[in-house]
Amino acid sequence: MIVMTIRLIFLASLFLLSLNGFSTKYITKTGYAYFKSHTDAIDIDGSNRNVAAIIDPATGEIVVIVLIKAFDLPLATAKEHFNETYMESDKFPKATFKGKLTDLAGKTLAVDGEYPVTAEGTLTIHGQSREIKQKATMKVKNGEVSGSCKFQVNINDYGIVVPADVKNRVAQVVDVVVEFSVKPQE
Amino acid sequence: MFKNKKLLISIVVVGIVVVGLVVAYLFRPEKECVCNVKSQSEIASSELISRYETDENLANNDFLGKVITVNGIVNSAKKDEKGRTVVELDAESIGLVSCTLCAKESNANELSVGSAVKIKGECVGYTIDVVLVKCCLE
Repeated sequence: MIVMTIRLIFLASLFLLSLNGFSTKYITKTGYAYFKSHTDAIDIDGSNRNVAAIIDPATGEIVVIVLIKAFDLPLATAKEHFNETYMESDKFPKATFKGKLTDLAGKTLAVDGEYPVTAEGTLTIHGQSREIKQKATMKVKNGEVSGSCKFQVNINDYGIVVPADVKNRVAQVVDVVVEFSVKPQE
Repeated sequence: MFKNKKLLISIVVVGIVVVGLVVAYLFRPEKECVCNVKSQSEIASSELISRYETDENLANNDFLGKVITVNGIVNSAKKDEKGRTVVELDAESIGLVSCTLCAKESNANELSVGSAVKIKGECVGYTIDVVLVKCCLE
């Protein structure tokens, strides 16, 4: 019981983040991330169901954390290359987005509907950070809040180096999808 | 002539076997479970969370990418969208230890909240919780 109380207090003040005030935060620890590298030689894709996200609708602030080693890739060799050669996940175990859903601030997400938003903030992948601005969608249906965003990542922007001998097998621009259903935590 | 033919056949057979092995290696599927992998350490869920909360980088050095065994009390057990059971272990702290059981373990096991369990899995890092994947019940 004490532990539960501590946890609820923690969730309300979550995460050493700059989410402020006493407004309701929306949280998930089981969000979904997917990437696909398409080339003429081969398609490589991976999915991850351990994505954490925290949203404060009052301010529009959002934090998304993706553990790189949690990506499932169908082939063991592809996963080894993904972790060791490209993402260097021992050195850079997380990708993060920290910023604002600029059209969301002030909304309570209490009313069913679809809320087109703009995610604006810092995307950090492979230890490299860049400011991004991206269209996304928040949906509220029967009180359940979900969010989704599709975007592209140029791996050059994040210092991901592909060895010359496999350059034709790894796309320079990778498609990324992030989806999550969040629940309110007082 | 007969000797050369025999040699040629041998070379072709060996070549086919070698190519087959290389292809099988390159296209081997990713392991879904760590049930048959030896655990590198055993730790209580509370200690694991404490190590991550104290110093995430140091904890990553010790646990990230490694197969470990965690003891703890079941806080919740739910199926994810792929039908795998995700077990959350209490950790006497703010975070939990989240363990995603591999498919065959998810089918075989029903876990009750409050029960003590020992789970082996690959540690993939720390978000709000410490996350283990490809898990098996010990």
